[in-house]
Amino acid sequence: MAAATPLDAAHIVDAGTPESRTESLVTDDGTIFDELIAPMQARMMRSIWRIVRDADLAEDCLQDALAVIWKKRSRIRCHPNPPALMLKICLDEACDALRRRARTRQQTDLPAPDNAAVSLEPDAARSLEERELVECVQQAIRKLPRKRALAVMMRLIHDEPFEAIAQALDCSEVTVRIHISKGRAQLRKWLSPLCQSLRQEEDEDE
Amino acid sequence: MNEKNIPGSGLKGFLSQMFKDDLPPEAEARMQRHFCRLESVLVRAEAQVKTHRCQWAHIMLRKEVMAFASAVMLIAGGVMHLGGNQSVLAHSIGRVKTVLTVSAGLRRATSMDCTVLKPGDGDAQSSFHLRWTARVATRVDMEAGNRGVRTLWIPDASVSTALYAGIASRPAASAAITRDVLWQPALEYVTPVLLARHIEERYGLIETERRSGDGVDEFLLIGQENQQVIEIAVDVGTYLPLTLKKYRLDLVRAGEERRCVEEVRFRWNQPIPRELLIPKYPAGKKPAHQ
Repeated sequence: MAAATPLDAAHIVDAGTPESRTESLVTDDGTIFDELIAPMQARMMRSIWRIVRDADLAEDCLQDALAVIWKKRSRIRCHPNPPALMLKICLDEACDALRRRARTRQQTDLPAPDNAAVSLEPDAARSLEERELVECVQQAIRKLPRKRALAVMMRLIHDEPFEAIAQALDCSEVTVRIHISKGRAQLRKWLSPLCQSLRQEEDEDE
Repeated sequence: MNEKNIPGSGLKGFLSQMFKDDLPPEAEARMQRHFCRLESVLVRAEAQVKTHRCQWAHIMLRKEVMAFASAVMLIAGGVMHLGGNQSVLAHSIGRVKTVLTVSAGLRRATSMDCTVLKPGDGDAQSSFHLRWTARVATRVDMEAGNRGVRTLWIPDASVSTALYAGIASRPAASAAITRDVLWQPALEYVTPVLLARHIEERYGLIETERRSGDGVDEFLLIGQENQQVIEIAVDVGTYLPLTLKKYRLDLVRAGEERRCVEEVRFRWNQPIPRELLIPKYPAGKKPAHQ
């Protein structure tokens, strides 16, 4: 996990009261893009894509994430770990997008778009199967409580250290470990019918 | 759905495989657009903020400069006041103000009766009696040496259109009259407006002393023109000239006794009989230009 940017470090060390610090940062919007957003561009795009795996949805998610980041820019600059917080915002938006899509599908009672595609080609069939699998995993992720889902995604998919996850979720490392442990168990339980290795892992745990 | 088998990997491996880091270039390009848009918006906003700050700095600087200038002027005013001496500028302003007041009084005059005296020996001595009424005419009676009285009527204050010259009857061309040396002393005071113009433009007058007592309350304006010192006594109440005297500058400089070369006495806004200002043509004679 990358450390805080030099700008943030300077603010944390030099600034006076939190109020005055916030005021000075709010007036200094010009550097936010260069200092915070630009170094995180690739990471933000990839983190969103890995979860939603849909170009339209990923675009919407990114837009929402940027809006949230802009809205919370003062808080992000004062945060001990801005990249972790920005990653958390992106993943949060991605989870929200998955939930919204599932809700929309339920309301309109439409099948998943790819289910409608009829193809007898072996490659296409494999691709379709893989997509269904991904959707199942996505469904399992969104069934997790929000913080637990975020902790699991940050740890198991993005390999973030516990400390960074704790800073991003604004909780202790112990809580993060508990979230991850419980989330891991729930996912294993839900996903074991889909994966033989998970079933073996579950058996070993028992 | 077929069961997925990922040998040697647990949940972490399974999730990593499900959520592969395989962002397609098209999706990346679409998302990249949002960053570009945000950056351009921020750059624009920053430029606007900078412009705004520049404007504010400009305004604040102007305010500071104005405040500084005001403070300097206040201090300078205080110093000048305490110093007691009036500045050249104040003098100059006062002089202009006095001259303009006199000039304005002359332009408002409704009638003028003035006598011009040119001292001299024998034929050189001459006197003129000018009577002017607004919007009517000026009558000039000249008496020079033993040549008797000659009268000149000038309608509505226009020297260039002088009608009649001579002993009440002899026609003469206006150009000839204006060139005639004998009439020159009078032509300078044909109308109050002409006198006002001289006061404003030619004499370069400066207010000097004030004289009061014995029914006289006047101040003096002193100027200079054509090697002559000009001294005008102005009534304090009406700001109209009472007398105008001319002295030779060379004699004044040499410290000799001042000798008046021309003296003009004015009376203002007194009624003048209208018939005096209308020429009396002899029978059978008409004005030259009619």
